[in-house]
Amino acid sequence: MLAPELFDSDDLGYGLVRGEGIVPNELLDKAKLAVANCPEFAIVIKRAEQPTT
Amino acid sequence: MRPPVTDWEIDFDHLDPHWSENLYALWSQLRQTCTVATSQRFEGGAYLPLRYQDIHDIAYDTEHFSSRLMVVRGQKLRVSGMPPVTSDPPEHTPARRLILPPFAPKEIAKLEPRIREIVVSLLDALEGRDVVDASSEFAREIPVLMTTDMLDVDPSDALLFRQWIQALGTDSVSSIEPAMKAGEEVEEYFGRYMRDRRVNPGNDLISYLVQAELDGQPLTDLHIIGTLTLIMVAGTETTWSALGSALWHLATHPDDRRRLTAEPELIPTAIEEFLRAYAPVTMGREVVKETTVGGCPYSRGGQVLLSFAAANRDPARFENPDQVIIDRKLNPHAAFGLGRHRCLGSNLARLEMTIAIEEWLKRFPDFELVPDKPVVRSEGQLHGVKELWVTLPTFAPRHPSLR
Repeated sequence: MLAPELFDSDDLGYGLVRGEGIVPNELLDKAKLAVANCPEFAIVIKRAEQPTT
Repeated sequence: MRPPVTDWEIDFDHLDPHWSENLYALWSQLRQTCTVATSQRFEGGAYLPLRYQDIHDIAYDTEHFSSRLMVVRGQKLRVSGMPPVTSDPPEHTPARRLILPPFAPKEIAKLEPRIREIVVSLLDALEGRDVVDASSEFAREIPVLMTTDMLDVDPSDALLFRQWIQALGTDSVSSIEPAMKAGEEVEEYFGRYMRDRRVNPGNDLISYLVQAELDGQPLTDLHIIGTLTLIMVAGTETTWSALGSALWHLATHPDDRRRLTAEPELIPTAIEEFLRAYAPVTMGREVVKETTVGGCPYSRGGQVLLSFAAANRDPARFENPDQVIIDRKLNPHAAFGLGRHRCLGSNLARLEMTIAIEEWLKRFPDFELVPDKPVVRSEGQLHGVKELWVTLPTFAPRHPSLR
């Protein structure tokens, strides 16, 4: 897995986003890497409307 | 003897020897002039889309393209279904969910020690030999031993599996009789195990299926046997072909071999690139409703070669697709298929390949092709290397545990 800090999988093997899905700045590159490498185009990153500190 | 192909654009044949020998050059050449090759050698006509986007769109379009046809054959053959791979919606989703849990990443991760044990014992058996067939003595045995392990059947039945897969797959393109006979034998074989595990359940996939329920009902015999047939077909020759290709690449690219030996942490990334560049599987579809994809018409009753291997070589999707770059960062390849039928054994295949390459390079960091032995490639809808004679230097360092 490219970004185990951000993703997990359920008992069926489907991908899950960990926690609230908020990407801390230091993991942004890993999140972008996951977006670019998902063969099903299933991952999107959205800019938070309000900065989450 | 099949007539040789003279025009691949309108008369392709995936059983022509030129196909398996020159697959990538052939696709690259075809792309110059067309986006979809066609052929009338197959009942109802056949299509071979070459663009990633078209292959993606067809995989997602279950309204016009049915999965009930897995192999593109001269004569269409309605084999008994192998749910979920031959299922279309709405039957597909429940049939797939049913079999996902034992193949989920967390379950597969538990198999790592067993895979490593198998890999190390196969390598032990090669020690001291100057020349070995890295594909059939090593690559082939790993998925076969894991599959027979997971089914809890006799490992020597792997020979039967191979014969049945050959009859149901490549051989059935030109003649369906052997496939029908093999189909009956497979049904008899798994039927026997199914009845046995109903009485003597164990911790194996056959027992899992006989105990499984769909909408509160046990599965039908046909469903159980079909899914077991799928596990046999999907779990063995595919990984064998892919791992054979990976070993072929390392035998013929000393720089990549040295780099992975020195940087084993790069192996999982390299495996993804091998999967992209040498994707082992092309699936079939049947056109059930006339449609147009990427500007090309597909008529009802036509057969489609849905080549995920071709998708992975599309320059519109991958930069320098014909170059194998073992540290490629951007690699959303389609080796495991796309959409609802995406390979559910991908976690197992990846783990088998990664452990195999890790342990092989630890044991035999230097190996090269035997010059006068031809490399034997997979045929038809499978792509890969099934016979790979390599030299192992006699001064090969021993396994660390034996030093």
